[in-house]
Amino acid sequence: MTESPSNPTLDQLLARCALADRAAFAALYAATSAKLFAVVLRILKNQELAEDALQDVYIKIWHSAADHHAGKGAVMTWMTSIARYRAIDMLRRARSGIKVSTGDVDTVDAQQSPGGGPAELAMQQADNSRLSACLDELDPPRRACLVLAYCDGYTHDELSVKLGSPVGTIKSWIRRGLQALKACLGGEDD
Amino acid sequence: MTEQLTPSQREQAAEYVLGTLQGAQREAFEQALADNADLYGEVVAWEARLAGLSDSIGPVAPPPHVWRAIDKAISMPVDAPKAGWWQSLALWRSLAAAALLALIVVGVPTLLQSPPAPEVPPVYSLVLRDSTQQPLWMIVCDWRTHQFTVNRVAAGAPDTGKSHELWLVRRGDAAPLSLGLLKGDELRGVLPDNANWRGTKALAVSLEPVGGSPTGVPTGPVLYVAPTPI
Repeated sequence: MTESPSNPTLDQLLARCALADRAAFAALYAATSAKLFAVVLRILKNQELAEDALQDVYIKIWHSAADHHAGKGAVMTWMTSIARYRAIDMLRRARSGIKVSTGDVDTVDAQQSPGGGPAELAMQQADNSRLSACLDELDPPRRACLVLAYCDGYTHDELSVKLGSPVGTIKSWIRRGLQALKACLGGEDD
Repeated sequence: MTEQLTPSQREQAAEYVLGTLQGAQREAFEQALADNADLYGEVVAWEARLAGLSDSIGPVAPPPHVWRAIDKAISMPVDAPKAGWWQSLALWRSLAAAALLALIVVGVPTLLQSPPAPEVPPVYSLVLRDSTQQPLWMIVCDWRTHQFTVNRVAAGAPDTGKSHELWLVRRGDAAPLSLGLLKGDELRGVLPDNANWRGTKALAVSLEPVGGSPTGVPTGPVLYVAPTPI
């Protein structure tokens, strides 16, 4: 997988997918699937389920490409959200049948991350450092709750076990953590 | 559209994105999302806020059979001919090699009237733009009569020996339908009988030989795309 500034942006590829351009879809997959697979694998912690999830996700992206517009956010964020929601749904459904590990996941092989042109990347990095700074301002347990819930799909109950605190406390940490994050990132107060 | 969200709805939106909204609450929230634009906007805002959290997750290449399964799944039989440019990997490669991809730009739909879900606005407009957001053509679509009017805003003439052809891209995998050649300052037309705006994904302009595509489906590169807002 190579990335060069002359490559079409994800927006352009998605626009072509809306035209049922399967070559553009193949290119979109090549540019983004490693990221989305990592996201669903991290949540599901099961190779087979993650592959199923990824398949569902891209089929949905293909059929929804024409529905994406600026009001739905950046393309990568939109696609990542589709992937996360699918993985979370599968995780909840699979919970009764499959033992989902609540242990830590090993750091996966890091390759160069794809995702848009230089300007898009720079923008993301700027946002990320801001998010990182805001996360650092949170008390460690609140920060852990948000990261484990977002990246690993932990439920309130699982967080309670993992962090050794009552569910009520977990819920409060999450609620206040989210509020603090929003305020720090510049969202308007409710 | 303008109803205020309650604090509880805002909390639910945040926890929906985080993933901790569960069970019946999650399902009910997803139902509510479908017809509450404010709630949807709140979700999109949280998705943007939290997106950076997944950046710490290093990429993992999926095994090749996943792509094969996806490719097969989207190749289900359709009522379209199989050999159009929009399906041709070989053409993609040649396009990439020729660096023609730089020509592709994204159209941004501009609504004259916002389309509330239950009612379709009788008339709406689309703007085909170039990569600098310069409007090239403006298209006004009449929902009731199936008529459309294309007005040239700032579009230049195509290269010598070429024509700009306007296409209606339908939902599903059906082949695009030609709406005519874009020449002069105005094109008026009516949708073909087998098309309607509701079944339309986007309008697109491709570069074709003079006089338009010889095959009835697009043969040249897609230059501009404007998704329909419905």
